[in-house]
Amino acid sequence: MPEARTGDLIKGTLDLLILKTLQLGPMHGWGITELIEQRSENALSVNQGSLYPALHRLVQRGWIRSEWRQTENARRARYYMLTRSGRAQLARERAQWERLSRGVDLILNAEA
Amino acid sequence: MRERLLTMWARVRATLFSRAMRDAELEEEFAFHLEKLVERNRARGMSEAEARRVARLTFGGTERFREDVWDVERSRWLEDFWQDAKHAVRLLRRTPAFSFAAILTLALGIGANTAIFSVVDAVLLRPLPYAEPGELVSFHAQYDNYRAWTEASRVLESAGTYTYSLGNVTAGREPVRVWTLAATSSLLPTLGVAPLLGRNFSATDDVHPSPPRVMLRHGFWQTQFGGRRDIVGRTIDVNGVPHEVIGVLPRDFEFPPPIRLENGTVPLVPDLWTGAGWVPDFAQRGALAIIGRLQDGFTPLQLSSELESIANANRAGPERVRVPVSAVAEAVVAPLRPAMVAFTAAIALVLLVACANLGSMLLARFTTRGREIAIRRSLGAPRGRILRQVLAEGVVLGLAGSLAGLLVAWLLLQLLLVYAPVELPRVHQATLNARVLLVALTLGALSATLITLLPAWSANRRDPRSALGTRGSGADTRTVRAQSALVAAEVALAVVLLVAGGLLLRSFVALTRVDPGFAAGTLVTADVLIPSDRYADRSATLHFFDALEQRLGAQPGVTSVSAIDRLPYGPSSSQTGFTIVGRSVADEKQHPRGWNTAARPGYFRTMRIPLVYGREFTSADREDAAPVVVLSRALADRYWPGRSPVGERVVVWGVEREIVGVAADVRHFGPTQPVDPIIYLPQAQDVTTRRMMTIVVQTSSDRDRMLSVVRDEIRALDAQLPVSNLRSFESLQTERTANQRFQALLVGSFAALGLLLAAVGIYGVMSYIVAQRTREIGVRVALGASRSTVVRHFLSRALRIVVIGAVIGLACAVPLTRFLQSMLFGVPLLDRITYAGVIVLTGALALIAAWLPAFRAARVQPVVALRAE
Repeated sequence: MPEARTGDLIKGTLDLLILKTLQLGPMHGWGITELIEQRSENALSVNQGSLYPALHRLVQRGWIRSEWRQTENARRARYYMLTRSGRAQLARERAQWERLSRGVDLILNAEA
Repeated sequence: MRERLLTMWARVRATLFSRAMRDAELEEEFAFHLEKLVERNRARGMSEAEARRVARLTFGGTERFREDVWDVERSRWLEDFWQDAKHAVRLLRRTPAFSFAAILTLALGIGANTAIFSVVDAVLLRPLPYAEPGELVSFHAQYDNYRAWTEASRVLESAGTYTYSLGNVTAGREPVRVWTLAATSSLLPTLGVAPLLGRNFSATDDVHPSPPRVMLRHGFWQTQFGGRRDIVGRTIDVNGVPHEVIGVLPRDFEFPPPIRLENGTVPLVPDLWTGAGWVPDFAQRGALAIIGRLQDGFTPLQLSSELESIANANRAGPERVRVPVSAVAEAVVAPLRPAMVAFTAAIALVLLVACANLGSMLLARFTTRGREIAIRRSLGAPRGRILRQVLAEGVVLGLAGSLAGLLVAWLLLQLLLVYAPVELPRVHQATLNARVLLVALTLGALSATLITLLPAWSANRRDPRSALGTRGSGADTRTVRAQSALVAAEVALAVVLLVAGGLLLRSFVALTRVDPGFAAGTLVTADVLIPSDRYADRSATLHFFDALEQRLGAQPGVTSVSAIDRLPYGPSSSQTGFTIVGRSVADEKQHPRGWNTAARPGYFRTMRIPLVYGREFTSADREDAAPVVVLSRALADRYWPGRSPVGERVVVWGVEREIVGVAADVRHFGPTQPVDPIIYLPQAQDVTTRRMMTIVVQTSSDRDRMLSVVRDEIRALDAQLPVSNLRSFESLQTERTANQRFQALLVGSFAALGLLLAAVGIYGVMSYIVAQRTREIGVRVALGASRSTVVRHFLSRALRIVVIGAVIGLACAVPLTRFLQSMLFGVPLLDRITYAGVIVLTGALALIAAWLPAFRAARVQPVVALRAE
């Protein structure tokens, strides 16, 4: 069941960003931060202190899972990937975000 | 599917694996991230050291991250569990009747198990009140051998020996006759026990004549001397001689250890301890009981072979002395173990039946909620979430059952202690201690798991699409099949319990039907000890009994009065050999032997022991009259088979006596024991003057009134004379069969409970089936099926479940009840009456339980049933 997250926008947004990033394919924690930074043109930067607890939370909810794999440079790293229910959750969170941002837009763009 | 498995595996791992291992994984993950940061900094042109420093600054403390990650996990589990539990409580409150029945069932099951465990804990598991009781052994030897062997032994660390005597104490509130224990000064140290007050005996107390000193048992000190601490150093009168009190024994200390004796009783715990030298013939007494402590790592068997080699070292001839040694702790618990195991197993089976019942009820509950679950599943609730909810309901029920069960356990324990036989040592120390509480909670958790296993499995297998497709009230064959299996299992368990209970019950009945050899009628008995200081010679003692019998005989309602030194079902004595005049025996060992007993005139009449030949003792058999003897039938039949030995002469203790009568056999040690040979001598002609006698009064009047009459008459004759065991013989008889009665009562009521629960289970599953098929029944009735067809259909269905269960139960009962063998008396293991009774009882109750739902099915109105949709 999707949980309501009013007033905890940042945390909720991070979950959304992570899920979206993982939609591209399995990735380790470092890769996720880099991708978020790149794609947001450095507007967003993810603090490691919130990234790992968030990843852990998502694993607990069954939305993502993790696996130890080799990187391209033959190093061992923990990769995270989206699960089926994670995909559904992404769609839900995305819809919610769009509703929210549309609301914010409407207010900001209202004729003065 | 693979994905789901992997996610599940991650959860399982999260719960199972240690934090340390997963911390290491986190650490590795962080290290990788840090390394990547360093790489990026280097790529931006920083020096290696600078890159590392900046990366570390950016990354921050890994320890804090780790804590954050763990917090996520912890709060998640707690939060989820709390939510599930709240949800479960809400659901359970919505169906109060179900919840009440479920909690009550669990509370009874868990409570009864807890109560039984607290008894087992006290009787079997709690260590004896000595230091390192596992090292203690017991064996028997004469005093000289005891000295020599313990001196020479390498295996024994220390040893002490003791013997019983009787004493009259006149210092306390009223004169009391007490058992005293004469012990060597080494006994207490061997047991690893120090007196609570004062000091132990010393070596001077071991040699006769020892200074008059005593130690008191804690309970005796409390009741007779009010627990006054200044008792040490004061003197009390024992057998008319002032004795110095040198110590008080600790509170929980009990000696001798409660090792069951041949007659089924346990040794008395003496109130008074004296030095070994207090008893003049201590060194000459036959086989003394010895308690020894083994050196580290040695076994009783090793001690036995060591002592045998010492004992046989300077013996000529082929005969070897045998010295059996037994471990004290094992000797205490070994005879009790079968019954305790049987109780535990029986009550555990009852809990299993209860759990099967609840499992079946929960299954029905979740099946009815199938639609709700299916909807939630299709809305994306993970499977685990639903499983957890099933589990939460079980946990809430289990916890409530445990708590209510503790109350039940306390109540049951009070009840058990009232009915527990005296022969069950230490049972009165049973309490609900921490260990017992832990067992209750564990049972709660176990029950919760058991009752949710099947519903959880079935909820997990439910496919959301199929559940949504069918109507919620449609018959769910899988659920019905699972429930039927559970009910069959219940019936099987109940049948096993019933067979066990039935065998024990039949055994008890057989026991009460044994002819003890006498007809007790309304018999009142009292033990008196004639003190040697005031009744110096035999004529004084005889005079006392003559006078007492005269006084009691004059009382209204008294039919006859006599006395004996060895009342049936009472204490043991020793065997004596005798020779038959005119017959020679080759070997001393072939001499006839019998338990020697001193009886007063009229004893056989009073006890209503029939005389097979001749006459009984009369007042004419005085000290100066011709010596006579009466033999028991077992002796007479053996040496004078098929004819009367009256008039023959035998020599007992060097005195030639004429056989004047043969008395019917008596089961002295209780109804389960064989008859034993007895030599009756008239008290007046006995070789020694036995001072401990039991007065027996046959009365036609009220038993309780007679008890006080006997006490008053003894008081009137000698106010200083202590009277003990003033009671009706009936109570002694009850005591002798108390063990068997307790066993039959306990296992029997467990079996009844199990059968009742199984019947509830049958009723439940049949009601469910009928409710599920209301519509189908309606259609059938509408199409012309008669009501009796409907009833017959459901009854035969129930019967099939019951028959399968009963057959499995009977098949299991045959091998399982073999463990009861040592508890049975006079009943074969495959007792036909028991098995037939079990089958009839189970069948009858099953039919009643199935009849009600079937009857309800037959009354279904076709229109109502069709409209119900």
